[in-house]
Amino acid sequence: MKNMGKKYTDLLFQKTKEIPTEVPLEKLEQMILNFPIAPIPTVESHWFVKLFNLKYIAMTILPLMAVLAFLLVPEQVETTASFSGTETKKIPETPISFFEVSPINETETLPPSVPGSPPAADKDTRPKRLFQKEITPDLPVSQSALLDIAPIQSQPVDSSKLNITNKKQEGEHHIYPVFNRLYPYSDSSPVPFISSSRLKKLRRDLYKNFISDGILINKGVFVEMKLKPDSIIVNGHLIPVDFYSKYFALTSIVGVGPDRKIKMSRKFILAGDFGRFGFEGHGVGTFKEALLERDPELSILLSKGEEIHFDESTIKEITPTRTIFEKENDALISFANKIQYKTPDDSGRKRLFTPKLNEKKLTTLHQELTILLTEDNFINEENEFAIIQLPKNTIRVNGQILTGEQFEKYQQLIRSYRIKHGRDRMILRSTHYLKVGNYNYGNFTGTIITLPFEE
Amino acid sequence: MSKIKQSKFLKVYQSCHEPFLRYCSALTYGKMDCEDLVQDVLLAAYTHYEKIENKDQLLHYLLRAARNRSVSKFRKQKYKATLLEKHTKRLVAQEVPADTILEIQLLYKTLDQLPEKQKDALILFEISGFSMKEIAAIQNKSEGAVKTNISRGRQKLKALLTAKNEWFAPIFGTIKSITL
Repeated sequence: MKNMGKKYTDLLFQKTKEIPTEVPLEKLEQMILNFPIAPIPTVESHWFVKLFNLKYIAMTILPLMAVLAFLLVPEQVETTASFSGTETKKIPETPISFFEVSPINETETLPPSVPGSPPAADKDTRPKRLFQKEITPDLPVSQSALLDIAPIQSQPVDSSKLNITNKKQEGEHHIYPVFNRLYPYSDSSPVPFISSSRLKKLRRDLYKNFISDGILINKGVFVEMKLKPDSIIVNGHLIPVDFYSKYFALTSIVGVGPDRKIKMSRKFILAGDFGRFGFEGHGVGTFKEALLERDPELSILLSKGEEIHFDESTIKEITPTRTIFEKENDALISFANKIQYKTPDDSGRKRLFTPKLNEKKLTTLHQELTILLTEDNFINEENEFAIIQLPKNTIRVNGQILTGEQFEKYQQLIRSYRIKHGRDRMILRSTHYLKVGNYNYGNFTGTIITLPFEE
Repeated sequence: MSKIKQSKFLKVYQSCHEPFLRYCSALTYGKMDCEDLVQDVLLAAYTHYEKIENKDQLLHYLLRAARNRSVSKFRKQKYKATLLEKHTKRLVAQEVPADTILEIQLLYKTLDQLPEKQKDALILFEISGFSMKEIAAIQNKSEGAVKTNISRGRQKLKALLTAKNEWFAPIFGTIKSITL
């Protein structure tokens, strides 16, 4: 009793283990033998009770009431403007500009300025601030595409919640909502004041949307966004038409203009006019050095004060690369699963912590591995995948155990990156992926790098 | 047919009895009658015996069922004097010395002050006698997590017992003198 430390705790546990169980086995055996031989009958409730219990009422009646209420409430006047047509030709490349429409009736379907529209009857002359897309005559869109125009949205757009979908009606109609811009009247709007927090939010939103739309692969990419009155160009690529409205709304805070741009990277964001006299606008982050390093255009502007002409002929539509990456990832995983299934090996300690490799190290590891694997003919034009398993004291590449010099070569490389052997420890390599960590039939914990896609 | 089922169930249960009962005793101490819980769990296991795919893992099933019932039924209850008496009487009936009973009850009470995870892991490891690997399988956790819970639980238990020692020491002394 004197020593109440570890020994006493152990002693207590020991005593607890030694005493007989609270209920003896014989008693419980008797209990089990007295269990009902026939299956225990369940109480069958009446069908009415079954049907109209509280759960049923909660799950059906309330949603039904909600739907009924929605239907019975007088329908509000729709204020979303949209163009629809029977053909969906190359609208994406169409230059679009905004202009003020003459006073328009809410029920009116088409402003008279749009070619091909039926004459509007009984115009309401109440002034209304509305903006419509003007489509130039050389559009590759049929006139029928402009017949049905729904009423126009008069409420401001919530950019954060905006999610434009490419709805298809009969005959593959595209609907292009038109949004109120802050500065839609002129070709160039004054540089607005944007606070640091709003700039940061803008950068966050833009990267998030670029990645979700497949325009960018990761957040590490430097982005130059040109906000022209009629188009948005990202890194020299015209934004696809499906995303126009969204990005117009997202960047409305910055405005438009011939020199209006957003330049951003992980470290900074700059929004304003990049004109002949330099940059006029607002920015957050450590952008000066970064820009001088990464943006030759700005460095020249800063040094010489000259205007640099951007070659519009290089503009082309962005092809979403996300699908390509997803396919490659799926193929890599299925390949790894096959290899793991063929060569199961759980020798070695299960490592709780995966190796810490930063982006730079992973990139160099990918390069070095590619060279080694190509030399040893583990990867070639037909097979771009390599699965390097690292169980205890073994290296297995694509299921093949390495020996002698080959083993030493790979071991040295792996050691130089401080990657330890262990159960499920694996390196998965494809053209655009490198995964280092613990892999077990689709479950991966570790570090992944996605290398940029080169066209 | 059901007699066969009973005998099969009984055969499998015999190997589970000791760790299962020890776990239930520690779990229910002072809050619920251990026998009630055991009966409840055993009846459920027996009813669904056909549905248990891996019959070797009946013990895991029983432990999990006991724990779930304990959580839903009596976790937040206070100690009941009648149940404490019942527990003492049962052990006395099996000729367990009084001071040992007191020490065990002290341990159970102290265990109840630990966080659920640590308490559970500690009971399974120290009292029911499972290995870390087995506990990890029962609790659907990694061995590392179990190890951590046990280690932290032990530390806390040690601290609590040391604190309680000052209060309990004279009582232990008295009981020992009586029994001797």
